Order: sequence, then structure tokens, then C-alpha cells
Amino acid sequence: MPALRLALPEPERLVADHGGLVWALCRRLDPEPEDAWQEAWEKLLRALPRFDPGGTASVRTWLMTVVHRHLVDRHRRRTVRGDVLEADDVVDPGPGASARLGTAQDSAALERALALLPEPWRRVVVLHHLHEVPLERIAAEEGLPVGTVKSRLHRGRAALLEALT
Amino acid sequence: MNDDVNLSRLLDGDLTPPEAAALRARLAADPALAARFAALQRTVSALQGLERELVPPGIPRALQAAKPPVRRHVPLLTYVGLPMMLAAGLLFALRSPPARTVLLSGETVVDGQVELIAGGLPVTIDGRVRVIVEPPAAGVRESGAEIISMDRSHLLAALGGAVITVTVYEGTATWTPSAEAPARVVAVGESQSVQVPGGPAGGGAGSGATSAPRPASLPEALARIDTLERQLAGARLQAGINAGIVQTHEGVAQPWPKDVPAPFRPEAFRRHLDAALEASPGASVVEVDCDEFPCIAVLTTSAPGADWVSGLEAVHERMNADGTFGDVGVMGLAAATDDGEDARRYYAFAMAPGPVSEEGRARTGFRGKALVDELTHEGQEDREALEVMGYLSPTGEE
Repeated sequence: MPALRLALPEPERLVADHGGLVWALCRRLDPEPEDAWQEAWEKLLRALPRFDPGGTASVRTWLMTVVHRHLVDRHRRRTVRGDVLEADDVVDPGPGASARLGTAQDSAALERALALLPEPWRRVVVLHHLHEVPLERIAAEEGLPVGTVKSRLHRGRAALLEALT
Repeated sequence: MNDDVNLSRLLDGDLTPPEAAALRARLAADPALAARFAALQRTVSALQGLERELVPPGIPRALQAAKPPVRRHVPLLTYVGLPMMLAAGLLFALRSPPARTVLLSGETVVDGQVELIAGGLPVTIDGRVRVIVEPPAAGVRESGAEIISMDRSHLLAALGGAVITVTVYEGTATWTPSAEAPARVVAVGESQSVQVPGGPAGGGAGSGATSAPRPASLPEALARIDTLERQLAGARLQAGINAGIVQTHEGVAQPWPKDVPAPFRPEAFRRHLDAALEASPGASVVEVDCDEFPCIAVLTTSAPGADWVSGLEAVHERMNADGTFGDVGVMGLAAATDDGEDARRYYAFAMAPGPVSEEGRARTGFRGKALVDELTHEGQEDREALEVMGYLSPTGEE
């Protein structure tokens, strides 16, 4: 009997299971999150037939890789154009945040400080600390030396500390 | 700010042992600095506590465009203000004609109202059902797309010899295992399997060896698979070309060789650098990157004037004035921002035992440029970059 092949995730299931993650990345890492969100899903659905469900990467890992690359590409296009886009209103802390962070004001202050970081620093801080992406993988996805990514992480943290104290 | 950056490096173990020891000594003696370090630790902890998922703005347009037209009897509710689980349930609870999908092989879990053609047999699902199709050996083309969504009903010929298993988690599934048999209802908790009659070389159980005639839609599906496979091959070729271009530009990461001479190792390099800086008024180190071989040091200077680069070049000349580093190749890159009196000036250099391979030069050049670009905040449009200087022998000749 031939071996079973795993099925690709249904697009609707992908959105239901991982839409919150994709939106969190777009909301925090792109000055035009709605556009980033729509474009990210166009890319994800086009790339979906090439995803190997039996491979080593989980759906979540694959999805984060695609979205990360997409946000880096958007940032590079903005840099080439010379656009200056200001950080918009801050991300709401969310219903569970105050229990973990003590007060909603603390998390709101942190989100505000995060939103004001330069985009390359903010991307490393968010991906590494919120989404536990190893620095080596961030470096590989962005085509940078690990040292540069570490430098961005340390500068980002230092800037957050400066803003919050 | 520099103290804060070093505190962050201390947190991750990114300082050299002497640097870490010196900073810990300062922390022990300076309560304000110790409080700052504690605040940094709390900030990192707070970052890890932020919400990792946020309620999205709605269904992406790309998904709406891909779905077949849906007749709705109730307004479509958006995700805003609703927990994700509830929103997912609503998505599949819309009153509409059931979607139709085809499963040639593999398995799928279906939620909602779906008419699934599994291995050629229609299965009407209203609930949450797992369907597995194990095709006969010669029944299905190898393809990356095992599930095909179609917007019109297709009755594919039964794949003779295929084994189909239906397992119901919630609701019901109704199917007709063969043309002669009555419809069967599979209830919650039940699992039913059937082998489709017929198949290659007369194999398979059931009521006969004849297979049903193939309709015109099967060649269409196979032609689409051919097209997708050609597109995938083209995309893979382009990706390979792009990877080659990227590798040419970025070089290949250079791990630390086991037999690198002692002066080039990170701690010794930093020690010699610090000693040379003491004899270089106005020059200071901004960053030292030893994640790959060789170490790259980035210096800056407070001395104005057109000759600032020479002043910083003198630092690595002093490092090797007594021949400690031997026959060495040096790569340097200088850059300054175009801010007039406020211009920031950086000089990045690396030293490696000569001769250095082309691969090593390319990679080191890429790393140095990335470090300098980072410090000038990627303001390429306002950066006045000088040329990579190439290699110098200890005598200064190229």
C-alpha cells in the first residue's frame, strides 16, 4: 500500500490558526499594517502549494519566515524610496497583558516605546523576544552578519530602557 | 547609551571576559548602574510578556478572492472584538452551498458543510471529519498539490483499488462506497473504510474488475498539475540563480579556524587594539565584531579635518609595529555622514594572516560594510563612503 502523504493546510484554517500572529507582526513591524497584512496573505497563499507538510519546518515556522521576508522587503522598498513614515497609534496591550505585566499602563508604555524604535532594531527585538526567533535565523533571513543583528538587538534594548526610565 | 548597550551585551554574554569582569566590578561599586541593569532585565522580561497575537482586521482579500461565490443568509461577521476561536466557528457556520473539494490522495480534516470527492467517491460532510485516501500504486500523479478546490461539481472516476477511510469527530458524513450500494451514514466516533473495486492489473476487492469511465475533467486536472510542476521547476531555477547572486555579494560565512595565530583571536586582538588606542589621541572604538573570522573593529574619531582617516589607520599600524601579527593583510573601510560639523566618521578594519582568499575578502568586506551602514543608520543616501582600501603589508606597501 502506498505511503500516506500529508495534506496541505486549508487556507481558511491557516487564517483561523495563524491570523493573529500575522497581524501582530504586521501591526508592530510595519508603518502601514493593513497593506502589509493584505500583501502577506497574498504571498502566503501563493506560496502554500510549495510548502512541504512532511518537511522539517512546521506551518508556523514556514509562515513566520514568509512574513518576515515580506516585511523586510517592504522596509527596503521604503528605504530606497526615501519615505519617512511615522509610527502610528500604539498597539493595544490586549486583555491578557495586564495580568502578566502588572498594569495595562506598563504594557502600553512598552508598546509605545517599541513603536518608536528604528524599524530594523524593532524588527529584531520583536522577532527575538516576542516570537523567540533565534538571532542566527533573523540574520539569515535578512542577509546580515549575526554581529549586526546582535548589535541591533542591544541598541534596541538600550533605547527601550532609555525611553522607559 | 553606551553603558546601556554594554549592559545588554553583558546580559547575553556578548562581552569578552575582561570586559565582562570590568563591568561587573562597576556594577558592584555603583548602585545607580546596578539599578539600571535590573531595569534592563525587567524590560526584557516585559517584552517577553507582550501579546504575541492580536485580533486581525478581518478576512484577507486574497482568501475572499480564492473562495467560490457564497450565498449568505446572515451578515458576514468580522473578527473585530471577537475571540479567534469564535470567529473561526462563525466562518464555517455561514449558510451557503457546501464547498466542493477533491482529494486524490493523502488525508485531510474537513470542517463544516463540504462535498468531498475522495478517491472518486462523493462524501457529504456536515461536521468535522477526517478522510484518508490511499490510492492504488499507479492511480495518482506525483504532485505537490494533493487537494484541488473546484467551483463546480466534478465526478471523477473511482480510482480502482484505492482505500478510503472516513472518521467522524463531530456531526456526520454520508457516502456511497459503490454505485450499487446504498448511501451510508458515518456517525460520531465511527470510522469506516472501503476499497474501491477495480484498479490496475485487475487488483482490488469488490464486485468486479471493471473501472468506471474517466470524465473529461480528469485530463483538465492533470494538465493543471503539469503546468504547476513546470512553474515550480522554473521558480526553483530562479531561486538557485538568486542564491548564487546573493552569495557573490555577501560571501560565505567564515568560521574561526582552529589554528589561527594567537594575536588574531578575539581577546588578544582586543587587548592589542586597546593598547594602540591609548597612543592614538581622539580615536576610540565603537564596536568589535568577532562573530566570524577575522575580527572587525570599528573606530571613530573626535579629531576633525580631512586627514581623519590617516589618524585611524595609524591604530592598526601601531598594533603591528613590533611585528606581533606577522605578515598580515588589512582591509579597511571608511565612511562619514554628510552632516557638516556634526558628521560622524567611522573606520572599520580587519586584520588576517596573509594571503587572504577572495572568499574571505568578499565576506569580510560585506561584514564591514554592514557594520558601518548600521552605525550610520542605513542612511545610504547621505553617506559619503570611501573606497575599500585593500591590503597592506607591514611595510605599508600594497
